[in-house]
Amino acid sequence: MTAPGLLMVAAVAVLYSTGFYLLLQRSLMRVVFGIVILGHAANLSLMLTDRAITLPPLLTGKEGAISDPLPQAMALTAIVITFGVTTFLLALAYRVWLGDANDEVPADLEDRRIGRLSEPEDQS
Amino acid sequence: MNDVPMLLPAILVLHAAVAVLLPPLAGRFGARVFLLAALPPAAAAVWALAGVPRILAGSPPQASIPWAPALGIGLDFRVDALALAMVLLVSGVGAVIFGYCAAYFHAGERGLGRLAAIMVLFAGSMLGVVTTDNLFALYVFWELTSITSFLLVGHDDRKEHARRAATQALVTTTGTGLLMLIGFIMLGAAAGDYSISGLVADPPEGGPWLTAALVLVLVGAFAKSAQVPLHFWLPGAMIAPTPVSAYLHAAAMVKGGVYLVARLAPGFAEAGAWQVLVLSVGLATMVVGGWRALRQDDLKLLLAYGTVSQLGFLTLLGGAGTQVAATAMIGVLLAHGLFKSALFLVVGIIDHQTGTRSISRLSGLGRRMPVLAAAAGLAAASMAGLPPLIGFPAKEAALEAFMPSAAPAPPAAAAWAVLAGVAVGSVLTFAYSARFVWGAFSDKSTVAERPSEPPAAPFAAAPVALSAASLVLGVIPWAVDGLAQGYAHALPAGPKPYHLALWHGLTPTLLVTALVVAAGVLMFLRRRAVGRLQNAMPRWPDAEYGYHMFVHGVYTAALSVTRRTQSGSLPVYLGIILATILVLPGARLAAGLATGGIDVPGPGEGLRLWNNPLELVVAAVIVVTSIATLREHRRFPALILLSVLGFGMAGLFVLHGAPDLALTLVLVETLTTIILVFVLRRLPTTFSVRPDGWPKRLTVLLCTAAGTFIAVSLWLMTAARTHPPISTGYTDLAKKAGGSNLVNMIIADFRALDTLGEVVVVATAAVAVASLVLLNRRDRVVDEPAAENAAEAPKDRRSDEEDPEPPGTGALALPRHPAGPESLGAEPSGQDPAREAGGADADEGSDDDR
Amino acid sequence: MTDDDAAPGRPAPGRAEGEWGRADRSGAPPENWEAPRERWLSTGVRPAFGPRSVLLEVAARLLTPAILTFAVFLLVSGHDRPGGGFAGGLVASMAYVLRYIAGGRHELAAGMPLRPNTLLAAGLLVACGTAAAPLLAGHPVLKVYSYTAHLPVFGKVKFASYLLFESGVFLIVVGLVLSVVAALGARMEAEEEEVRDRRRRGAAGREGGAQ
Repeated sequence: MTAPGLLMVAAVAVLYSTGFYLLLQRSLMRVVFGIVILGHAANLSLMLTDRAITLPPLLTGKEGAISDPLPQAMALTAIVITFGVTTFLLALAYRVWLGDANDEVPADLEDRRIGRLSEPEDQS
Repeated sequence: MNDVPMLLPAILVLHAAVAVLLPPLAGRFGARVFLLAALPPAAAAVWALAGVPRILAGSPPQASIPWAPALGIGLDFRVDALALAMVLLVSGVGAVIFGYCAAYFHAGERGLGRLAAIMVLFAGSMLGVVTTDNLFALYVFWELTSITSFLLVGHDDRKEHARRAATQALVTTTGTGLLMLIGFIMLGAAAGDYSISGLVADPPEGGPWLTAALVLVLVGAFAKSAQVPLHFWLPGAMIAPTPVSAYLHAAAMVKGGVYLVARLAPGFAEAGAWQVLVLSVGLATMVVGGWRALRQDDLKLLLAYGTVSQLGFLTLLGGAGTQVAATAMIGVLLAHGLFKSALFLVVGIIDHQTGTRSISRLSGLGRRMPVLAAAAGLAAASMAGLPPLIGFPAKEAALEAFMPSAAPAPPAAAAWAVLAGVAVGSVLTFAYSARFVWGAFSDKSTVAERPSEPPAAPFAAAPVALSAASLVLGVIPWAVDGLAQGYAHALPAGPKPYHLALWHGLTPTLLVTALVVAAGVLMFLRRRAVGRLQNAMPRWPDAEYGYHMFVHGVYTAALSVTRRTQSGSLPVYLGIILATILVLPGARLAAGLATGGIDVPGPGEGLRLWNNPLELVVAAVIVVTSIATLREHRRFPALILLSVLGFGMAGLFVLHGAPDLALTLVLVETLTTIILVFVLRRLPTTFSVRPDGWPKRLTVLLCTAAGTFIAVSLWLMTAARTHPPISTGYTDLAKKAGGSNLVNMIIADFRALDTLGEVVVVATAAVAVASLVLLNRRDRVVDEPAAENAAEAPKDRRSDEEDPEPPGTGALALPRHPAGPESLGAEPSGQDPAREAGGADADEGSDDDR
Repeated sequence: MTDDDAAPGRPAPGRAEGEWGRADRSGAPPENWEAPRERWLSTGVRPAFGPRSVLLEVAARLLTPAILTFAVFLLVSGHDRPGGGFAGGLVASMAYVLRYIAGGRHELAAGMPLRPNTLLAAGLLVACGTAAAPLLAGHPVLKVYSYTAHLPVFGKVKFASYLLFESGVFLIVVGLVLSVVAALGARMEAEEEEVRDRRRRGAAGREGGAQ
């Protein structure tokens, strides 16, 4: 039974916490930053599932135990996807900024409207 | 004729096919399309009649179409005697009613094609309900009848009344249908078999589980068959066109619940709460329905409450679980289908010819429509249980079933009580039958006669035919008896066999019948006194009121939940999600750690600080930069911190033996940084800052807890891993394929399908980015002059937009950050009305709000 | 999109026949013989950020072929060494990003061989085609075919169909980065310029009206 080093676990905890915190902000740019950091956190989590971190998963080098290539492949995919998502969010943020002159997540008006429906009911 | 092929699935398909054809044809042929619509049910009825010998000989035709065999779901069909009786009712009476529709509806009727199509679909669904042998298929067909019934009741969708009645019927029957589904699954899981015949032949062991399952199933059946206290939807559904009422609410759909009770009775009549529930609910329904039928002025409502009463009667008989009761059940089932639909059709004709169905406005119809009056009289006599109509031997059998001497099943005291209840119900039935005939056809001195034409012969043919069938079957009750015995033989027999017949000799049952008739006649003659008594009775708590309270309660609760949880603020939503993660799996983790159910790696068994001391440096970079990014409110410093964090991650990947990741991450980080610079330089120089205070502290706490939870679970899960990673096999695969970079071999070869999906996502993102930014190209070109004119007052517009609603109320409120004056990107919004009119969501939202 | 930005008559860098080269019609030594035969740096360039830096521009130009070669190397060697379609594509797009940063949107448009959408489409086509092609032969999706050849100079060379698949990935990644740069960089830059122009014209108009 092997577990990842506690240092890296702590790093994952910090990355997730900061990512979540930024995600909970109203500023769209900070939300984008939060997504980027969460992407790092997820990649690091993937890496930590490897039991024994040793040589790179290349068969050309010296013989010996190699790292688990599957989490790496998944993380590689995730990195590129995160890049795509980040650029999309940036475009979205830019769009909101153009329309609103405001770099903030707007409140969902439809939700507000539904919420307001119930108010007369309560008063009567 | 012994070997009739199993055409049932084909006939069901025929229903669907005809339903598709009807709407386009209705435009050309008007109400005559109903003659085409009558074809599928007629085919079903003919097929069923052809199969009678074989079915009664005890070899029911079967067919099975696999659907999801692993889950026990399949379209299995099995037509035994009970199913046969129902098919004759559903399809035989259905075909007659379709014929009647051709005369009833005007060519100009709104939505005629749709009505005809849905009626055929309903006929098909109902046919499925009564012939399927699989609990899940039964449920599917069952709900199909609910949905088609909803559409039929709400046929005149411009009337609010019709819509409300349709919704009420739908909510009641599908809501309880869901409970029934749970009951089905419980039953099937207990028996290990989802086929109905298997379930009935080999019922699961008794116990609270079985009782709960049966109660759930019965609730569904009771709601479908309008049993007290769920009966309120049936009178409401009378808003439907009369032929629809005649079909759905007399012959077919409402019999679904009765059918289910009768279908399960051979297996479960002895079990737990079954008898108590079925007998008490059935009896209460019979009496309450009869009592309320006596009070109605509208002939159709009178029949509706009469139907409620009769359905209670049927439930009682179907669930009693004795052979005599079962015999009576089949008799009453067929009799009721014939006479009730005949009476509904008569009401339809009266309504059609005179324009009213109110007792207090009809007079003298008996003289002007003698044929119709005779048909109605026969049907009503059958309803009242008078010889020589089919209602009489059926009711005789019903009374016989609860004679204390005939028992095996109910104990004597209960039998007496049920017998008395059935007798009272029969008296009421006699009284409202008489009231119907009197109210519809008699000469009333106080009521002025309305001018009316007698109906045309084809129009009146349907009720006349149905009444004639009542008479014919009454004279030859052995025809029904064969069917009844085919079903009843599965149930425990009484001391001597009982058959449907007009004359059993001078028995106690005959005496009871005589008393019932006498009391009924008396009650009809003293109808004024009865009316006074009814008015004097305190009004019972109305079940419909309960329904409205329930619906209103659900609506209010939904709104209040929505208002509390859907504040419209994204941070609040995300916070709720995080909190849920913490509360549900987090609580489990805490519990596991507290009780020792989860292994924690100790020193020497995997607990270690790092693999490589250099990790300390990288971890320090990661922790410091990520926390600094959090605290940095200026845009470019935050961006630089973010990229340092990214490069730190790349360093970590190097340490972890992942050169591919490091390479890719370095490249991606570089590009991300550059692109962020592109966008950031157009945005405000600083991000909005949240005020310090409890909400902020709470958010920090929540995020820290969530992050820690994820990291700790990751640590424990990785430590708990016992199997070797699946990628060990990849080494050999890669050698065989001739590649030596395993990561890229996985991406490009072993798991290339994932990569294919990924590149599609990436391409989609690219297109989305381009279209988001280039969204406004065309209108800019077109509206250039307009934009210049509007450039005069951009400031006013902006303040208007900001007016309606400050963002962020509640716990996570934020001050609004003022738009930076240097921000060039903001200008087009104020200057370009064309884009605002067609454009971004935020603008539309604020328009609505004004 | 980016084609719109490329002003039509602007000589394409690297292959422009300037007016300088056409001067020698008489037998006399040409007037401006010392002028370069080709224009190598375009004149109308405005970089995406800050003042123009010739050094950066030249470096970007010079580096482009090298970067692209390196990208192709990463792509081809990906199944033996670190690299592959993703890394290769990112490196290749880096060349264009560099040119954009150095020379602005016109430089980007001039250097781009294909529109980003074409690249995306070609990449998807190659990737999906490689995935689906084995179906024609009755094999499962994405089956890999390989062929080893002995070439005179290179020695043993292995061709495998996953290289084709990786090329599709490569093209898509380049397409993604270029369309992002075109949209978030060049497009926004153009809009900004437009706004600036309009404001200048508007201010001039207002002044004229006031007097």
